Amino acid sequence: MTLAAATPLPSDRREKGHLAAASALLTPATAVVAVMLVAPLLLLLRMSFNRFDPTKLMVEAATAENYTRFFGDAYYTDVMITTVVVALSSTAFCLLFGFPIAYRLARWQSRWKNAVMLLMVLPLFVSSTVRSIGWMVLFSHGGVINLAATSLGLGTMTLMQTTTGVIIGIISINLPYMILTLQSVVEGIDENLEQAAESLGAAPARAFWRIVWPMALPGTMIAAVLCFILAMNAFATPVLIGGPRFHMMAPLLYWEFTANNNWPFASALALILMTTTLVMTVLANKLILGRQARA
Amino acid sequence: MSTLDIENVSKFYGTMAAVDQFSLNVRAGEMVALLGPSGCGKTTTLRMIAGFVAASRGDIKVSGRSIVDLPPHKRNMGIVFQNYALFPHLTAAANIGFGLEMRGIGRAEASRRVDEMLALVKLDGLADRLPRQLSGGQQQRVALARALAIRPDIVLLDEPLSNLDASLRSEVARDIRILQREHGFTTIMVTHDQDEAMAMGDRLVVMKDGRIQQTGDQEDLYERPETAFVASFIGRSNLIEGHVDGQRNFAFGGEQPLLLSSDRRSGPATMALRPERLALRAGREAGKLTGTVVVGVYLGAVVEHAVQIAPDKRIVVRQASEPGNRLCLPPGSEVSIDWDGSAERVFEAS
Amino acid sequence: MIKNTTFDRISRRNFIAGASAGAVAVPFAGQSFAQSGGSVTVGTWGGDYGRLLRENVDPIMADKAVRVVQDVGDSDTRMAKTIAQRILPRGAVDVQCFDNVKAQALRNADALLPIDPAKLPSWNAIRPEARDPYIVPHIVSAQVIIYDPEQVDEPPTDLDALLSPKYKGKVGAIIANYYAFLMAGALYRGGSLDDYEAGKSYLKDVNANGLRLYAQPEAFTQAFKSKEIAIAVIWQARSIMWQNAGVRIESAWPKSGAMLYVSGLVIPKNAQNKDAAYAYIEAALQPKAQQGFAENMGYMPSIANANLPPNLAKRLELPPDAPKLVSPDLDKLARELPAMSDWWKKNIEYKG
Repeated sequence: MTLAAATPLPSDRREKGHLAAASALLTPATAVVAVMLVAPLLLLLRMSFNRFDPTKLMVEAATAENYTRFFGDAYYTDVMITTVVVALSSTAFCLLFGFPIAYRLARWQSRWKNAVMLLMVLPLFVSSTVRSIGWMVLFSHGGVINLAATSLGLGTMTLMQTTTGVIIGIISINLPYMILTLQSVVEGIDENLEQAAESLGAAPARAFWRIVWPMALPGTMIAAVLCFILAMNAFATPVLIGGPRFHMMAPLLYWEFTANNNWPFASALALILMTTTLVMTVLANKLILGRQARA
Repeated sequence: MSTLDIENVSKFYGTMAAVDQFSLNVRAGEMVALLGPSGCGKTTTLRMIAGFVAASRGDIKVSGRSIVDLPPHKRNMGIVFQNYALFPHLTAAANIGFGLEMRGIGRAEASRRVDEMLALVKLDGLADRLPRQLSGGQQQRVALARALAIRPDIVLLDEPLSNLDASLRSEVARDIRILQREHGFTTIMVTHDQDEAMAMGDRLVVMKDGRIQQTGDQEDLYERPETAFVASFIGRSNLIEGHVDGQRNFAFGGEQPLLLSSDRRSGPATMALRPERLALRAGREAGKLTGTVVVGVYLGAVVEHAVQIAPDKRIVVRQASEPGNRLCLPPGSEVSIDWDGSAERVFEAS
Repeated sequence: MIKNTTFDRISRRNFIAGASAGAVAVPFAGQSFAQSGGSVTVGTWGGDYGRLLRENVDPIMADKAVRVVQDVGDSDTRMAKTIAQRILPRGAVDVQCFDNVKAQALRNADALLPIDPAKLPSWNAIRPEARDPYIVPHIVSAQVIIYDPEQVDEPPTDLDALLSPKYKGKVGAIIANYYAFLMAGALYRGGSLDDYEAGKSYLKDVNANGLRLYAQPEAFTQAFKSKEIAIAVIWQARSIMWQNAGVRIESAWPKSGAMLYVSGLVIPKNAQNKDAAYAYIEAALQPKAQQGFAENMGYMPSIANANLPPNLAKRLELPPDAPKLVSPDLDKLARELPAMSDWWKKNIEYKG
């Protein structure tokens, strides 16, 4: 063994010093995450195995009954299916509407670009509740859309208290997130690549699918996952637009928690919702990005 | 191989002309370098040829057929981008084969041609590397191979050497030049570097402010610049601004006007003198100009003197060093400068 | 009230609680808390109820130098919070406003302080039938049928009207009222408020008749205005309030009887300012305070000596052939409520 190998080089030592400093800097953040995120989740997990008693409310126990109740009752699985269907379709539409807009914006060179970007961000300043109420005005019986449809002779068009209405509402809320994320994704893709593809004989559409799309896919997945998670956990929109007869997971678990005071079951619902979201996200990533890697 | 004819092409952005009445006829197998400072319109011209920018006016013909109405993907141009624009998610082979795939060329044939191209640019064995796993020089060769694989009518090179290390440039320039000569592909390259243009082009087009200043081979441009800009942009020139008085007197602010070698029209004019075409002698006698040495620098092969010829004018004289004979003159030395009539270029102010 | 703003409200409430503590701490620094009278935190609904408390009860407290801080939230949220805090040594809220069913559930959960009548000078003024060991009744109402006289030509006499094919798709309900609606059905179909199965079968039939559900009272009144619905069962107080607001509705007493609604004030077991809490409750029982609620919200006072003005008294007066007014078995109801709400959610809301 030579001396040089035994003694760390100054640069090595410096690197280790940097690493140590970086870890030290990360410690408070890690602690905050552990305390603010992991601890409540563990608490939630623990509560989900407790038993509910109408009088004593929560009884310490180690029972899986909250989980068997969920999976054994078609009502709850139906609500989960509705939630997943709404989340998937709203995400698909966000992608469908969002990508062309994001693409145009990213490739747009205009002094108006910043103003338009601001317009995209602007809806995020208004809470989803307020926006849902806006949709209620448009959708409701005697609302703008209904009046327009009636006067155009299309018959009555009811979107209030329909799945379509809820999906439209969620799209309106999630679309800015999708566009903003995708816009930066597309901006990260060198425009020369598309021109290179075109110069090599690819028509613009083909250049897009063969070059832009595969390069944008990882970022697009992130945007889609963001929208999917937001939609899976949508609260205001299903309550306000969907109405009392439209049931999705987030309002359901809130109701179990507050109206029924059934914390154990509400905890189980929360964890089931979270796990479903997580599993679907991971599966989609594996399936889509994995396939791309193989291709 | 194809010819390229660019006829009176202009590009306007609003009222601003990025390219103004550009005309150029490129012979089959010829390599033409568009040269100029940034913003001179050379890149816009290249992009108009490629089809990424629509020409506002004029026509572009490949082998006599107008292509201005064709979209980029139907123009059959092999382009090497300044940053290479390799598809980062595709291997070197897939990058090279991309154009063949777009042309619907069968797998076996495509694979054969990719191998051929890899061999041509000496990248055999690196077929399965992703662009990020290649060095800058290797990336550039992949980009070149990709452009050539489609057997383009015209090859367009956008600043082909600018992203390479200085040490690699002359070697790559030579390789490209050899390849181009051997295969005879009609090529347009764009560069802001006169050495690059001189080294690679059969002909050069010097541009400034959207207009062609001069088109010609290296010698035309160096020895017979048509504008003061070309004279200063190609090689080095001492530019002396002044006024032609009478017939042969050129007043420039020195002690006495210069006597021109030939008749000129009266009016403001700029004289261009190459430093190496000037002869410097100690003393104030037999010369067209007299002056005082500001500084002399011995550079090995050459000696350069900066000489004050007028209160606000200095010129540089460069001479081959002859050991024992030609050494630096000390500052303050009185000198006279002379030149052959053929070295003197006078441009009427436009 | 919009449910999903509750989370915002929780943080705001914490803020209010914190702010009030700070506000108290600074001006009274160095003084004994008891001498100053201190402050009392009251958990209440927002909107009219909270406003009327501020207008009618707070001035009385101000005379006693007690500062009132409202902790506003719908009753589900405040209930969840009360339960969550019941194990803490010191709760954030001193008085909570709940209906007697929620109060019973909290009592069962051992979250409430038993009321000591000795600390309430007005105890004896409370209507005897409304007295309870854990909740001091504040306002009282009863369930009536309300209808739009333009759409319902014949005044209904009992809950069968809601099953009439004439009003198919025209029957409305506010979802928060589900158990009262169920129990009205129980009384009509089973003769007792406690016959929940009869109530469920009645609700199923109403649902089959095109029951329309509303999450908010505002949406419900809007539906009456736009003639989306024509008939419903609701607390009389609400009907009076809406009539005052210009909604064209009439009310009718059901022949089979009417369930009593009692809302009142409770003291969480771990209230920090128990004396101030009693003082606040006593203030709420003052005739002047009770009149305000009767006038503005149409509630019957919980005290016998409210001295309502004659026209107001006439309005709240029962008809000559007085309907049967009944109270449910609160303990049974509190125990069954979670199961009942599940049943409602799955069978009425969802399968609608």
